[in-house]
Amino acid sequence: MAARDIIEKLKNRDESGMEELLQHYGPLMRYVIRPFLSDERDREEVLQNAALKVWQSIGRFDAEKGSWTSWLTAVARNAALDMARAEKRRETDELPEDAHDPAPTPEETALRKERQEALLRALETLSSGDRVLFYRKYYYRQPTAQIAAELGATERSVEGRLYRIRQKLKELLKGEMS
Amino acid sequence: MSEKLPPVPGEDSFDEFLSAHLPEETSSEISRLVTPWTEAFLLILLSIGIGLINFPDQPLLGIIQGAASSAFGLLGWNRLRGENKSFRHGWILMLIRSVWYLADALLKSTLWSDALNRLLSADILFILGLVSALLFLSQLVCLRDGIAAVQKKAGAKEDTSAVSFLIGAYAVLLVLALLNAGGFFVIIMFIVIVAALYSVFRLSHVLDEAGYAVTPSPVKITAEALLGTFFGILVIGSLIGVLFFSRLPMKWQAPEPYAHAETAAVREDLLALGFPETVLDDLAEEDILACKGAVGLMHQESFYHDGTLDGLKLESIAVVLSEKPRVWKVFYHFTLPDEKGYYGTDALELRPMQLFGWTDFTEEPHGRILIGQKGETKAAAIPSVTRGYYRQQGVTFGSFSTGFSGDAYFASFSLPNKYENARGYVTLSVSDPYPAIDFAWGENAKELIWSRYFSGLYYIHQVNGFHYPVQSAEAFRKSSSYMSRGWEFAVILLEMSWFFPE
Repeated sequence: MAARDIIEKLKNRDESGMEELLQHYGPLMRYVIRPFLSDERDREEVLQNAALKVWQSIGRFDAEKGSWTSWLTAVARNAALDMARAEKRRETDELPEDAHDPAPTPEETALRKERQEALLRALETLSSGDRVLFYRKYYYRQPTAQIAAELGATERSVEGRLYRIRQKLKELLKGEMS
Repeated sequence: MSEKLPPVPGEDSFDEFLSAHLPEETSSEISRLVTPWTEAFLLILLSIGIGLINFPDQPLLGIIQGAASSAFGLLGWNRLRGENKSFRHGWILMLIRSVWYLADALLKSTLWSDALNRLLSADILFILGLVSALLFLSQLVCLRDGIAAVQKKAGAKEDTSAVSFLIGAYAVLLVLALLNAGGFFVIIMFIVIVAALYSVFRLSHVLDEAGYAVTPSPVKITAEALLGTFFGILVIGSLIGVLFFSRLPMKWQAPEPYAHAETAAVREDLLALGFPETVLDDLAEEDILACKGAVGLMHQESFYHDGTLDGLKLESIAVVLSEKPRVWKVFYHFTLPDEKGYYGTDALELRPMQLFGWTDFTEEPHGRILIGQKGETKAAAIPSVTRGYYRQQGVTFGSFSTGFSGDAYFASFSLPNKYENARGYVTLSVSDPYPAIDFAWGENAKELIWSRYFSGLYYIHQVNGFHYPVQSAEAFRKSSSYMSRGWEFAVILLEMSWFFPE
């Protein structure tokens, strides 16, 4: 089934769209979630949460702003990140479960945006292959072994490439970080 | 500029900085490229797509195509081999196909390929080709089953129609090739190839959703090592083949002194009949002795002056051994101009125009080559003399075609890198099949003899050592069109040899 049909169903609040979403895009969402969580039950829980999030926020998906898989990846990733952070908090017992991060100040928001743009500009200077590698590591949080297997390389060569990418970005972002 | 956050001192902090400042949503390009299967799968499809294209009569392109198909296939199947049983079998078949390809490619860098083709019957060559095609077909079946297994694992609906179509299309191609179909079927074949390539393109999307369930295997052999080994064997092996195994074995040694006392007397008789002394000096003792009792002699000398082998000299000598029955011993003696950097093989082609005139050989052609090296003369017997029917592609003018089909003798030999004063000869004996015809030496007889003993003689000279696949001069001649010149061989039509009394 085409993504367009599933999106249409979800937007029309047709519950069969959820079933089709999981049937067709479950593998993608599981793929995105897997590196963030080690426990299989947690992963399944996150998958359900992410699917629910899709159901709730499908109205915000705009095909003109980005692709369906990018949007779905972002939803699944955020759900996985939330769960991973909650896990970490539970493990370290740093903060009570109901604690929330304080809202960022306008200055912090502006600075964050500025740095984000600088990082994106720096990433544009990388080759397509290096950019994909960077995203695998820092966005998808994939372990080196997984990246190596999927790229048909050894872990050592992936680490080497990542090291060179980091060094280049460090150089390019020196101004932003000083 | 807004206030800066504290500096990031260490690597971990920088990693955090990078992760924290990435946008929430990636670009379409990134989400399209970050998958566990796309790259491996595309490599496999590239291998299949390239493997489907055929380059008839373009062996070099065929070798490059095979190398690309094998390299892409090895890289792709290597990554997916651990995903399921079918992909693993596909990987094993890829290894077998690659070893097969390498063996074939390396063999083609030597003269053994020619020899093997002559040695093996057409049936065996056909079976080998069929096995190779069936290996490819089996791999397509593995691909189909592997895709189905991935779709099942992902809980997706099984859809292997594209690869099933590809299997069907390849099977049709195979049948058409087996039937050696021509004419209208060539158009069908072309359509099927296009359809098959289209199905390869369709296949590129078959795992778009289910493919995320693929878990590539950690590579034991890196892409660099795999490609390095593959191309290393191919390039180094081919170079060794071209440099050391593209010549015929020649047993060079100093010519032995005459062992029989009567040889000197026969020599004297031949000289008295007008046999050129320089040619006589090059003859092996048994060939001199074979002329014992000669009653006549005809001699013709010609020079070839045009580009390649400029100055090549041919002397045709027919020694009349007996008048009744009429038996001649013919010598074709050639002298090559000095050349530097000689490689490969040369051949003298004897192609009687009127075959009936040459059917009664009383002695099969043979001969030897002589060279000068560091002031010494060395000789070696011509190692390969073959006779066989061949049909040559020619240019047709109405009912007349320049292409040849018929029997021909090829005397093939090789020369060392450095030599001087190279010459050689081929000799054979023939008896006149029409002894009843009275050869009263006159104009009519001259024409008759002309038409019957008019003999085509060609010299095929290798002009470039680094050609691939390696071919002997004989194989080149048989596969090329009439009087064609490749960048590796030149075909020189020596003046037609004919014998009649002056």
